[in-house]
Amino acid sequence: MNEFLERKVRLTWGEQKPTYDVVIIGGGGHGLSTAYHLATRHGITNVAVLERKYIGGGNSGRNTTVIRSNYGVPESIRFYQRSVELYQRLEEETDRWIMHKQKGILWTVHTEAGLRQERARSFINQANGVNTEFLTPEEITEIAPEIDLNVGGGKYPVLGASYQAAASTARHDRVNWALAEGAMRHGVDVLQRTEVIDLIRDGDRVVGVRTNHGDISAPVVVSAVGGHVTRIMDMAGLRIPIRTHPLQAFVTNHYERKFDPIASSLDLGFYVSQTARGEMLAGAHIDQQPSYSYRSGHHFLSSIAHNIQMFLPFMRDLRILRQWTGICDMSPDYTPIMGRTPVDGLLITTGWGTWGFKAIPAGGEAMAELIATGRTPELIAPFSLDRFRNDRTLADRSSSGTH
Amino acid sequence: MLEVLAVTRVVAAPDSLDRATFPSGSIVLRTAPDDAMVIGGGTVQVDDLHAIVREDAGWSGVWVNRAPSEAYLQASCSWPRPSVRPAFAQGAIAHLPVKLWLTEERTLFVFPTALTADFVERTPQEWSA
Amino acid sequence: MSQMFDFAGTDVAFIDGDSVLTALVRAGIYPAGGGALCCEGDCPHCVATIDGISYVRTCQTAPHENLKVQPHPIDDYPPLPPDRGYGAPPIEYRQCDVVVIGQGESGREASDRATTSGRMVESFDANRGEEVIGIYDGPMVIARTPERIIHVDCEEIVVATGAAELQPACPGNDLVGIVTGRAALRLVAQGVGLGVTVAVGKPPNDLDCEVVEGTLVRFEGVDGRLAAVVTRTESGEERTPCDTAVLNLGIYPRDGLARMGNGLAVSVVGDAGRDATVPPCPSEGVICPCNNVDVDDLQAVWDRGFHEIELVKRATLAGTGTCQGMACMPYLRSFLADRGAALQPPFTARPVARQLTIGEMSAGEYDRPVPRTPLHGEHLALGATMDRIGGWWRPWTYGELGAEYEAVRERVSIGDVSTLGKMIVSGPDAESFLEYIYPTNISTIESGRSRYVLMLNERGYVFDDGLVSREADGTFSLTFTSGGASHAEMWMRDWGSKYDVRMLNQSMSLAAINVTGPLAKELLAKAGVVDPPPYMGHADVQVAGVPCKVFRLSFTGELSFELHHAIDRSVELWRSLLDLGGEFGIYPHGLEALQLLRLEKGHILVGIDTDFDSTPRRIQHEWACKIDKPTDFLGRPSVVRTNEIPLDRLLVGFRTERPTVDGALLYSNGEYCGYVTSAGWSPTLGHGISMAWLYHGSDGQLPGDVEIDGTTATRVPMPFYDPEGVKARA
Repeated sequence: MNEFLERKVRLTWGEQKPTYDVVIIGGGGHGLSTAYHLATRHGITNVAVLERKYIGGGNSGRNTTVIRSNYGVPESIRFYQRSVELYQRLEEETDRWIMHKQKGILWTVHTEAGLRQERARSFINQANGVNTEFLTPEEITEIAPEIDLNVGGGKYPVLGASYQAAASTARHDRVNWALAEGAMRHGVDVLQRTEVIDLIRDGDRVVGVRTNHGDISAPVVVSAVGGHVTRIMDMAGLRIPIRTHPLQAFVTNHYERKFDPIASSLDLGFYVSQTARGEMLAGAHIDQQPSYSYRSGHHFLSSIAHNIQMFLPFMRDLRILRQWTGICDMSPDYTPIMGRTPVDGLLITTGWGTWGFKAIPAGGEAMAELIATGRTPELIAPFSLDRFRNDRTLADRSSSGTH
Repeated sequence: MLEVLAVTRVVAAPDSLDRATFPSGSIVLRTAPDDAMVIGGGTVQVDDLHAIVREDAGWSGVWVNRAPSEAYLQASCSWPRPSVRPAFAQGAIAHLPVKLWLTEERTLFVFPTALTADFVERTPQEWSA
Repeated sequence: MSQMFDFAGTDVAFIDGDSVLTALVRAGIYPAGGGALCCEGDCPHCVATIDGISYVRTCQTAPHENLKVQPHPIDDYPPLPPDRGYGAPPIEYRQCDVVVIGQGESGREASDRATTSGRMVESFDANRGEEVIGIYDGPMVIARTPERIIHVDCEEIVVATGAAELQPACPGNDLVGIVTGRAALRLVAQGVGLGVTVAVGKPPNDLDCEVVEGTLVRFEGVDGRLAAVVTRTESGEERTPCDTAVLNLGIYPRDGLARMGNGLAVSVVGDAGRDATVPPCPSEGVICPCNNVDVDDLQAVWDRGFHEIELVKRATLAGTGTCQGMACMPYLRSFLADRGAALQPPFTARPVARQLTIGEMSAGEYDRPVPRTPLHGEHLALGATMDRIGGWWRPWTYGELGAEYEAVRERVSIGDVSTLGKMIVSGPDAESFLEYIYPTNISTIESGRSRYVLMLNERGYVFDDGLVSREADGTFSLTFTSGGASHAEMWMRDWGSKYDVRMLNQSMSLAAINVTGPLAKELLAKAGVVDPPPYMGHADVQVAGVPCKVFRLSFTGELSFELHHAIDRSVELWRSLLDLGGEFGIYPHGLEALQLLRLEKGHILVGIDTDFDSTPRRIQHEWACKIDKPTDFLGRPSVVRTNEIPLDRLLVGFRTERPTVDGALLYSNGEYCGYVTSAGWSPTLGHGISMAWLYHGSDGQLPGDVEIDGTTATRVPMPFYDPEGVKARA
């Protein structure tokens, strides 16, 4: 036995029924969180979560597990801060070990323009209740003496960093499972290997879904799909402004747990942290070429390997154990899309790009409230799909992390 | 030896460029159907009224003997070079945009002068000596 | 005299043909504790730290003098290594028709077949120290040899990696003294004594040892060393004492690379392609030696609903360690099949198939190239601080911000603007093409004149700005922002494909020096320019003997001339201007001063003052967007549509009595209402100036005065400085 064996979660699988009050497409973090919050906050339990493969097998189980709220627009800062707070008590609430650990996140800058941008981030964060500070190089060294401030022999000097001390990580699988179990316990049916083939429509409304195991009717259908969301929306005759890009990551072997923060350089295109098991975990920017492919690429690995060893020289001699790929649904303004669609009966939560994991608790909570009350919660009202039509986009590219 | 190249750029309709006459002794790199890079100076005659013909001081180059050039390319160029020489090829070499003119005896590496520092940093010292 | 390497301070002798592992075992050393050694790179039982690099398989490493080997921590993880600088091994790029991975019998046959049919073949074999790291799109193979990283592009890949011998899954399988059949042969061949040896299953032909009856139940040991093998026979358990147990429990295809190449032109031959028949389900014992997962652990998660192989992997961590499932995969699958789930395919195979360090992975990589202007050396000589701005190295300041600013406002200064995007457009459709690209009237630009232009995307949002100038010969000269030039060129070529136009990018071929200040004309006169072009005009003239295209425009707000010239004449021109300007008190200015000067004039910097969704209306540039012009232009439908929507924010100017900084927040009656995009202290005006996004209040009105950094900010029209533009037009 190892200390990370999942010892408590009990998954009780349902059987597909012909009718539900709510059908959620996608058994990733957002779908499961929506079901969890419907069941635990609103007593709505006649709910099915449909998962094409196995739960948490998409980006919810492939991301690099960073939880932070250092965004650039007030609407997003408030939303992600709600998620940070929900994460802080998720272990207590679910009585499950999600390996939540506060680490602090450093976004280092290497140019004057970067410095101004991250200093500006600290202002707007602080004004919205998020204590992001702007650090000097000396302060960075106190937090992470491993970082070479003279990156690349002075080509990319570290001039400062924005730092959110409350940023944390959690084990992605365990978050998914804790939420799934919590929903299941209240009677939610989570159905694996259940693929939505089509949406069933009655006039202008969506009234159910057709799966590989038969039809389900439901007055509310929620797409919490990652990656193939454009295809699901296509079934309802909707075009949504999402492009899906691969994003690659790797881990090294296990080493003594010693590197505390999450360190990132947007300029150099990577972020890195150490997992509870001691693996050094690194992620890259998204691939420019849109694709649904999970195939790993080589160029990303070699280019960030080059940059990482300049930034954290000790990493040169760590051995890479495994690389993998997630796919990111990028919205034009780098902000999620949540809420109603122009088609009655069909709700959506998407546009989770490279920032979906950190939003799982708050995203599910808000979607559940919308479903239960029929009113869009104020917290996610700015993220509605119609903002693109209404010229009310929330441009926040610089906050998406590396891409 | 690194040098700034005497280049004339000719941008013209592709069929006009096909018919164009170039100064004898010049090296003509057809970098695109509508774009020719003429190294060595002289007058280009092209029958496209709208052709853009300009002296272009933005390019540097270095001639390298065939054997060392091939050894270098094997360690810095991920794509196959033409097997028959003389030939023109272009693409990323050591992650820089480089154009190659490959003759039986030598290879000319052509790159934007603005990237000279990067080129020097990632090629053998003796090339820029 | 035999050769030695160092193991934790002890000399270990090695002989020809040894791996580090065989030499260690000969000396009675097991670097990672016990476990069934395979000697073929499949199991995790021989890893050690070699020359500071942990998790190295000693069975795949050739020994040499000076090698430093340290044991793998048994109960903990290895420490993070110290900083040893950075570097990468050499890389070699190859191209061929067929790559054959593995040169056993089936691999050699595959190579021969391909060679015979005239195809170019590259082969790799782990026994020759050539380890394939991964198969990627292309298809492409990355391999590592002791000397270098090799990168092969090919048409087709043949995987001939053979099969691994099954690891035992029973109690006691972590003892010292257990080896697979092939491992036994290798050790014996190197003269390593195995002591009293028994075989479980049929031993290799050349190995002479007793075969124990029955099926394996457990290993028993004393002080971590094997003492006996216990099997079950028809008559019950049988205990056979021994020093070494040689195992033949069956083989399992090494198909990781084949599965990694799924969907690519990859074929599999030999044992690697055999059916992955799973062994009987074990009843107890560790199945994942990397992460110490035993059958009870599998049962525990199975009982709680974890039935998918991926979920079991994630819940137990089986298969996520050093050997990436080589040891445990057969047992994971047999366990799940035994418990009633269908026999599930193995979980996804991902690179890297053989581990390599981050340093090794960086082979063939370089720093991102950053272009330099021809004046780079001049700036350094003048003591400039260089910064990467808009993708170029540019002078941020020469160390005297005040002097730089003052020279522009009061005398004359020069600045390096070589990084501007520059393009010539010609052709029968040149004018109509540019009319479509730009939201400004192009046809009314007269020969010899220039006009400021925005660039809009289809959504009607501003993504670049610059200048369009018509030449006497009917061609157009365009400029783009420094940082936006590459994108703008792609944009032009993309949309231009529908038009009969010719385009020449001159961004890196032409340098540009901005001569600016009230005495600019005097300086040019000294440089031989007697009749400079009028405001927003341009002309081809010689400046100090250097042929230039001189554009008269103004970003700084003063009388300005932008001298575009061939980059090989730039140093000469720069020095001449500094020299000739001496009597006028000339001093160059860097980007920091330029940003302040243009802020005083209210000129936007696209990407700093604008955002992804900046319409011309939001940035108060409707004057540069002629929605009524006779021809259609890119973004027009969007601009027309969004102009109907109530405005939510505006880019405006503020005056403050204390300095503010970029990013400072705006408050109106305590409510957040925007932020500063550019801020500065105007020495000329004697107060702070800011450009800022100001949001409309809930009443739909723009706040008037606001607070920035606790100080009152008064909204004032821009430009802050010389609003009538008298100076620029002087």
